Amino acid sequence: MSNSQLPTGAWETVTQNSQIIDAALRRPEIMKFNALLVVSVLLALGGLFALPGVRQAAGLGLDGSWQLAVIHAELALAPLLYLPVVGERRSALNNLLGGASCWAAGGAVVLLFGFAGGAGWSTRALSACVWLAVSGVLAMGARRDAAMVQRGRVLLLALLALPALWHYLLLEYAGATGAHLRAISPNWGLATNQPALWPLLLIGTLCWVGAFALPTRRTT
Amino acid sequence: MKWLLLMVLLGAPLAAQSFDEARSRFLSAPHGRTGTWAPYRVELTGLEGLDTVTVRSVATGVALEKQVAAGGLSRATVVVPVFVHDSARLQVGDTIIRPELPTRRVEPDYARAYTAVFSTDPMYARGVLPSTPTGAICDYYALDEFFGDWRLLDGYDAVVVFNPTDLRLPAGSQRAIADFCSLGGVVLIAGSFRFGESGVNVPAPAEPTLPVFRGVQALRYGYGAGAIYRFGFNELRDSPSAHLVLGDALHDHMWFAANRAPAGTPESRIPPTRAPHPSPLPRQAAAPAPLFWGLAGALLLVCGLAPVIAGRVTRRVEVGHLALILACLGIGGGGLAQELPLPVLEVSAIVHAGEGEPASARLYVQVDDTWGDLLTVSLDDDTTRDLPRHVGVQPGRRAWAIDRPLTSGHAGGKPASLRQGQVGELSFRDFATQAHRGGNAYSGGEAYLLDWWLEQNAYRGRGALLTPGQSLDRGFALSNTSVIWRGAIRVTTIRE
Repeated sequence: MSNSQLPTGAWETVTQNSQIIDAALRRPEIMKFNALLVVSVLLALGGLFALPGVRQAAGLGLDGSWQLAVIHAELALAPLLYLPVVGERRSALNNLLGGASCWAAGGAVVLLFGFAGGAGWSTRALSACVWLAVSGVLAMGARRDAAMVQRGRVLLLALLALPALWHYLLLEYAGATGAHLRAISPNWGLATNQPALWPLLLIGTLCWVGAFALPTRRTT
Repeated sequence: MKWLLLMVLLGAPLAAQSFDEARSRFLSAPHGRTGTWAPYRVELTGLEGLDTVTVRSVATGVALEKQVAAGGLSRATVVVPVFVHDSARLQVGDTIIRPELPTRRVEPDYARAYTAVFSTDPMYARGVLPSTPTGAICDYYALDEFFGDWRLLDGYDAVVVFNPTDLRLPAGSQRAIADFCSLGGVVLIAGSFRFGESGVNVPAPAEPTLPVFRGVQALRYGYGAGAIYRFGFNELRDSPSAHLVLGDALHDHMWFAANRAPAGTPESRIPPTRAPHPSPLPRQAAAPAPLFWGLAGALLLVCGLAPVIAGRVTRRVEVGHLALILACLGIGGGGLAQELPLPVLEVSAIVHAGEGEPASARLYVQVDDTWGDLLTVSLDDDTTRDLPRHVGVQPGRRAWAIDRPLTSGHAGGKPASLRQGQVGELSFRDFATQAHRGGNAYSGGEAYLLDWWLEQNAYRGRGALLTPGQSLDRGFALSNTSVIWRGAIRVTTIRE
């Protein structure tokens, strides 16, 4: 359905909603409780993984696998939980520190689940690289507008979360392997004990340079 | 500069401690029983300026440590047990050597006892008890170097002592002989039986018997699964076939008083290929402690309040973020201080008994590989004479068989008698199957021990009383583990 086929007034409603979201995302207050959001979600998921039914379905135990599940959740949900402030160049520093505080808060939750044993401490570097890449991509989008932030989220999910699916589809339909995509998928890398930090570090650094370097877009 | 000079002066002798590899060797060479510990003479050099030095004998999964007093000398000699295996290493300071292994491998054999012969005159001993292709396999030592620790006798089936001159055995030998016999070894003594110490607290042997071997009378003391045979030195010397007399005495013990060797392979301390471990228990379920709830609550509070408070104090949002990062790092650090669930150490035991009060135990121990992989035993610790060796086990776990001499246990059930491969009315395999099904007193972990022991030993010529539900007088523990006993059985050897 093209824009011209929308019912009367619908396009205006969509435009108004986008403007409201854009305006909301331009307020620095939205990032105020981002770390609280990360902590709440991860603690809730940690509690969920302890439920016998969930544990049985996911093949988890009340041991190191419990913490590992929280780590996987932390890595997978980073693109969804991070809320950058849309705006000018000066908001970029705020976004960078916001990303760092989310990483620290998520890391604190992971280390709290260390009572069950596991490798939480050794995954902190991977987690830092994921948060760097995620916050970098979204912060660069935030220099433009809220729509670019949402596109950035889709891009990150496709890039970080779906390589295992691409691999499967390649195997199934093209008879080729996509195992080399493991380098950009932190969850896949963690699951196979072969996490690669450098692609995430590269993406994060380039995006942050871009976020600080992009000229501010003047709108009327 | 002064400190640097001092450090160099102090460091120089420390760095120099080493082995004299040309003079260090297995005392049993060229013989050696693979999978057991054998006596190894270590020549240490470069000890100037040191009071003591620690020698470590390392094999797969096990390290034995011995302190050696240097006393200002530049060289020292010590005899330590070294594992006869490719994995054996000796370490002093930063120096590690790989001992040259004995070339002749001695397998357990009912007909050929592997024997350590101690004598005031080794040449005479070689004449009386020669090492022959069909008889005993002997290593010869001087009597004054008798080992004061049974762990140096680990590989041997028998010990023969020729002592015509009333020489006192060195200190520690009484305990070593008692330990060795309780583990199923046999000691033959020709001549005097005097120890270099008194007041050693070891259990008394059983009442003596008076067997006669080819016209030579002996005094036999049953000692748990082992025994001590004593001959008069002159009677043995006057016998026309002294070596056959000693051979008969060895067979009398090893063949359980029967006139021919039992079928199968004799029990030895070589680690089994398949150990009698029950299926491993799952790891201990972790549960959050009050510290977890406290830190989680603090984290939620900090994440909720820090931005608000920072916003009241300053208009700069970055300050709130920085405060939050620091607080989260602190709480995460607190999370690291939580106690981890301890790895579960599973222990099973087979208590070996025979005549009299003495008994010994072989503990089968397995633990999660998160615990570590090296079991360290101090050879200078008088409170324990345990000797571990690594046993193969499924991936992700570590396992050892630990021989413990002179232990005792308390029977927890009615014994079953094994004779001619039958336990009561049942064949030994049916009896083991019945145990696995919970049909007799050997339930749970004991069924694995029973099944394993019967498969190894229920051959012609072996009789035993099998008692379930043993509890040892002394438990077994490793640091930072949670111990769970999986079961124990007592095997009391029956002689024909």
